[in-house]
Amino acid sequence: MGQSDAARLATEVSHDDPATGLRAVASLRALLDSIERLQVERARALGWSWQEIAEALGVSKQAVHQKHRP
Amino acid sequence: MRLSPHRTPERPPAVRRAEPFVLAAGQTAQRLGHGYVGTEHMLLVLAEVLPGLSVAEIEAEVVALAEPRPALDARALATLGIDLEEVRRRIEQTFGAGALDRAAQPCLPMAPELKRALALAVARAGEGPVRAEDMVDALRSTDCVAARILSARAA
Repeated sequence: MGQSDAARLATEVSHDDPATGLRAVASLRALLDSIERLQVERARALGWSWQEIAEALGVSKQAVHQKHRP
Repeated sequence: MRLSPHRTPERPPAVRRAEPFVLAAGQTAQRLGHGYVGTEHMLLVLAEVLPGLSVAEIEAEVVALAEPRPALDARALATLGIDLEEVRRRIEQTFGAGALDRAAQPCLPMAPELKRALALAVARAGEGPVRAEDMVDALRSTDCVAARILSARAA
Protein backbone atom coordinates (compact mmCIF):
# COMPACT_ATOMS: atom_id res chain seq x y z
CA MET A 1 0.00 0.00 0.00
CA GLY A 2 1.48 3.35 -1.00
CA GLN A 3 1.19 6.72 0.69
CA SER A 4 -1.89 7.58 -1.33
CA ASP A 5 -3.62 4.37 -0.21
CA ALA A 6 -2.97 5.25 3.43
CA ALA A 7 -4.32 8.73 2.82
CA ARG A 8 -7.39 7.30 1.11
CA LEU A 9 -8.02 4.90 4.02
CA ALA A 10 -7.70 7.79 6.45
CA THR A 11 -10.32 9.83 4.68
CA GLU A 12 -12.73 6.90 4.61
CA VAL A 13 -13.12 6.91 8.38
CA SER A 14 -14.41 9.75 10.49
CA HIS A 15 -11.65 11.56 12.38
CA ASP A 16 -13.80 13.16 15.05
CA ASP A 17 -15.53 9.93 16.09
CA PRO A 18 -14.13 8.86 19.49
CA ALA A 19 -14.56 5.21 18.45
CA THR A 20 -12.12 5.78 15.61
CA GLY A 21 -9.67 7.65 17.82
CA LEU A 22 -9.75 4.96 20.51
CA ARG A 23 -9.38 2.23 17.92
CA ALA A 24 -6.32 4.06 16.59
CA VAL A 25 -4.83 4.18 20.11
CA ALA A 26 -5.44 0.46 20.61
CA SER A 27 -3.86 -0.37 17.26
CA LEU A 28 -0.90 1.88 17.93
CA ARG A 29 -0.36 0.17 21.29
CA ALA A 30 -0.55 -3.27 19.63
CA LEU A 31 1.90 -2.10 16.98
CA LEU A 32 4.29 -0.76 19.62
CA ASP A 33 4.10 -3.96 21.69
CA SER A 34 4.70 -6.10 18.61
CA ILE A 35 7.75 -4.17 17.47
CA GLU A 36 9.15 -4.07 21.02
CA ARG A 37 8.78 -7.85 21.30
CA LEU A 38 10.57 -8.41 17.98
CA GLN A 39 13.40 -6.02 18.83
CA VAL A 40 13.94 -7.44 22.32
CA GLU A 41 13.95 -11.03 21.02
CA ARG A 42 16.47 -10.10 18.34
CA ALA A 43 18.70 -8.22 20.77
CA ARG A 44 18.70 -11.24 23.13
CA ALA A 45 19.53 -13.55 20.20
CA LEU A 46 22.44 -11.24 19.34
CA GLY A 47 23.75 -11.52 22.90
CA TRP A 48 22.51 -8.29 24.48
CA SER A 49 22.08 -8.40 28.26
CA TRP A 50 18.77 -7.48 29.88
CA GLN A 51 20.55 -4.46 31.37
CA GLU A 52 21.64 -3.23 27.94
CA ILE A 53 18.15 -3.74 26.51
CA ALA A 54 16.57 -1.91 29.45
CA GLU A 55 18.92 1.06 29.00
CA ALA A 56 18.19 1.25 25.27
CA LEU A 57 14.43 1.15 25.95
CA GLY A 58 14.72 3.69 28.77
CA VAL A 59 13.04 1.44 31.33
CA SER A 60 14.24 -0.48 34.38
CA LYS A 61 15.88 -3.88 34.03
CA GLN A 62 13.10 -5.31 36.20
CA ALA A 63 10.42 -3.96 33.86
CA VAL A 64 11.97 -5.37 30.71
CA HIS A 65 12.72 -8.67 32.44
CA GLN A 66 9.15 -9.06 33.68
CA LYS A 67 7.67 -8.22 30.30
CA HIS A 68 9.94 -10.20 28.00
CA ARG A 69 11.72 -12.99 29.82
CA PRO A 70 10.53 -16.20 28.13
CA MET B 1 0.09 -18.90 20.94
CA ARG B 2 0.52 -16.97 24.15
CA LEU B 3 -2.52 -15.15 25.42
CA SER B 4 -0.72 -12.27 26.98
CA PRO B 5 2.81 -10.95 26.86
CA HIS B 6 3.10 -11.83 30.54
CA ARG B 7 4.58 -14.98 31.93
CA THR B 8 2.56 -17.92 33.18
CA PRO B 9 2.64 -17.16 36.93
CA GLU B 10 0.81 -13.87 36.35
CA ARG B 11 -2.16 -15.52 34.68
CA PRO B 12 -5.14 -16.24 36.90
CA PRO B 13 -5.40 -19.86 38.16
CA ALA B 14 -8.72 -20.31 36.31
CA VAL B 15 -6.98 -19.67 32.99
CA ARG B 16 -4.32 -22.28 33.74
CA ARG B 17 -6.82 -24.95 34.83
CA ALA B 18 -8.83 -24.51 31.64
CA GLU B 19 -5.83 -23.87 29.40
CA PRO B 20 -6.68 -26.15 26.43
CA PHE B 21 -10.09 -24.48 26.07
CA VAL B 22 -8.64 -21.01 26.45
CA LEU B 23 -5.95 -21.63 23.83
CA ALA B 24 -8.48 -23.05 21.37
CA ALA B 25 -10.82 -20.10 21.96
CA GLY B 26 -7.91 -17.73 21.33
CA GLN B 27 -7.11 -19.47 18.05
CA THR B 28 -10.76 -19.24 17.02
CA ALA B 29 -10.81 -15.50 17.77
CA GLN B 30 -7.67 -15.05 15.68
CA ARG B 31 -9.06 -17.06 12.80
CA LEU B 32 -12.15 -14.85 12.75
CA GLY B 33 -10.00 -11.71 12.94
CA HIS B 34 -11.51 -10.58 16.24
CA GLY B 35 -9.32 -8.50 18.50
CA TYR B 36 -10.37 -10.19 21.75
CA VAL B 37 -11.24 -13.63 23.07
CA GLY B 38 -14.88 -13.76 24.15
CA THR B 39 -17.44 -16.27 25.38
CA GLU B 40 -18.68 -16.65 21.81
CA HIS B 41 -15.27 -18.01 20.74
CA MET B 42 -15.33 -20.41 23.68
CA LEU B 43 -18.81 -21.53 22.64
CA LEU B 44 -17.53 -22.33 19.15
CA VAL B 45 -14.75 -24.46 20.62
CA LEU B 46 -17.30 -26.33 22.75
CA ALA B 47 -19.62 -26.83 19.79
CA GLU B 48 -16.92 -28.94 18.17
CA VAL B 49 -16.77 -31.40 21.07
CA LEU B 50 -20.29 -31.38 22.53
CA PRO B 51 -23.27 -33.04 20.85
CA GLY B 52 -26.29 -30.94 19.89
CA LEU B 53 -24.40 -27.77 19.00
CA SER B 54 -23.94 -27.03 15.30
CA VAL B 55 -20.53 -25.50 14.67
CA ALA B 56 -21.58 -24.03 11.31
CA GLU B 57 -24.74 -22.40 12.70
CA ILE B 58 -23.04 -20.97 15.77
CA GLU B 59 -20.10 -19.72 13.71
CA ALA B 60 -22.49 -17.91 11.37
CA GLU B 61 -24.04 -16.15 14.40
CA VAL B 62 -20.67 -15.26 15.89
CA VAL B 63 -19.41 -13.87 12.58
CA ALA B 64 -22.58 -11.78 12.28
CA LEU B 65 -22.02 -10.35 15.78
CA ALA B 66 -18.83 -8.43 15.16
CA GLU B 67 -16.83 -6.96 12.35
CA PRO B 68 -13.35 -8.41 12.16
CA ARG B 69 -11.25 -6.29 14.49
CA PRO B 70 -7.62 -7.21 13.93
CA ALA B 71 -5.18 -6.15 16.66
CA LEU B 72 -3.40 -4.08 14.02
CA ASP B 73 -6.12 -2.04 12.30
CA ALA B 74 -4.77 -0.46 9.11
CA ARG B 75 -7.72 1.95 8.83
CA ALA B 76 -7.40 3.19 12.40
CA LEU B 77 -3.63 3.63 12.09
CA ALA B 78 -4.12 5.53 8.82
CA THR B 79 -6.08 8.19 10.73
CA LEU B 80 -2.80 8.91 12.56
CA GLY B 81 -0.87 9.02 9.29
CA ILE B 82 0.68 5.61 9.90
CA ASP B 83 0.87 3.38 6.84
CA LEU B 84 0.67 -0.13 8.31
CA GLU B 85 1.71 -1.76 5.05
CA GLU B 86 4.88 0.32 4.96
CA VAL B 87 5.61 -0.46 8.64
CA ARG B 88 5.02 -4.16 7.94
CA ARG B 89 7.34 -4.06 4.91
CA ARG B 90 10.17 -2.47 6.90
CA ILE B 91 9.75 -4.80 9.88
CA GLU B 92 9.82 -7.83 7.59
CA GLN B 93 13.08 -6.60 6.02
CA THR B 94 14.75 -7.12 9.40
CA PHE B 95 12.69 -9.86 11.02
CA GLY B 96 11.46 -11.94 8.08
CA ALA B 97 8.14 -12.54 6.35
CA GLY B 98 5.08 -12.48 8.59
CA ALA B 99 7.09 -11.29 11.61
CA LEU B 100 4.88 -8.35 12.52
CA ASP B 101 1.64 -10.32 12.36
CA ARG B 102 3.15 -13.17 14.38
CA ALA B 103 4.33 -10.71 17.03
CA ALA B 104 0.92 -9.00 17.14
CA GLN B 105 -0.96 -12.23 17.79
CA PRO B 106 -0.15 -12.74 21.47
CA CYS B 107 -1.90 -9.52 22.40
CA LEU B 108 -5.52 -10.71 22.26
CA PRO B 109 -7.18 -9.63 25.51
CA MET B 110 -9.78 -11.82 27.19
CA ALA B 111 -13.30 -10.42 27.60
CA PRO B 112 -14.30 -9.97 31.27
CA GLU B 113 -17.35 -12.22 30.75
CA LEU B 114 -15.04 -15.05 29.64
CA LYS B 115 -12.88 -14.57 32.73
CA ARG B 116 -15.98 -14.85 34.93
CA ALA B 117 -17.18 -17.95 33.05
CA LEU B 118 -13.75 -19.57 33.41
CA ALA B 119 -13.76 -19.02 37.17
CA LEU B 120 -17.24 -20.56 37.33
CA ALA B 121 -16.20 -23.57 35.20
CA VAL B 122 -13.21 -24.20 37.45
CA ALA B 123 -15.46 -24.02 40.53
CA ARG B 124 -17.86 -26.52 38.91
CA ALA B 125 -15.04 -28.88 38.00
CA GLY B 126 -13.94 -29.12 41.64
CA GLU B 127 -10.60 -30.89 41.95
CA GLY B 128 -10.70 -32.60 38.56
CA PRO B 129 -9.84 -31.23 35.13
CA VAL B 130 -12.23 -28.72 33.58
CA ARG B 131 -14.47 -30.58 31.12
CA ALA B 132 -16.40 -29.23 28.14
CA GLU B 133 -19.63 -29.82 30.10
CA ASP B 134 -18.37 -27.64 32.98
CA MET B 135 -17.46 -24.92 30.53
CA VAL B 136 -20.78 -24.88 28.67
CA ASP B 137 -22.69 -24.86 32.00
CA ALA B 138 -20.55 -21.92 33.10
CA LEU B 139 -21.31 -20.06 29.85
CA ARG B 140 -25.05 -20.65 30.36
CA SER B 141 -24.85 -19.24 33.89
CA THR B 142 -22.92 -16.12 32.88
CA ASP B 143 -24.55 -12.98 31.50
CA CYS B 144 -22.78 -13.11 28.15
CA VAL B 145 -23.06 -13.38 24.37
CA ALA B 146 -22.62 -17.17 24.45
CA ALA B 147 -25.50 -17.55 26.93
CA ARG B 148 -27.75 -15.50 24.64
CA ILE B 149 -26.83 -17.66 21.65
CA LEU B 150 -27.47 -20.82 23.68
CA SER B 151 -30.83 -19.68 25.07
CA ALA B 152 -32.00 -18.53 21.62
CA ARG B 153 -31.24 -21.98 20.27
CA ALA B 154 -32.93 -23.74 23.17
CA ALA B 155 -36.14 -21.75 22.60
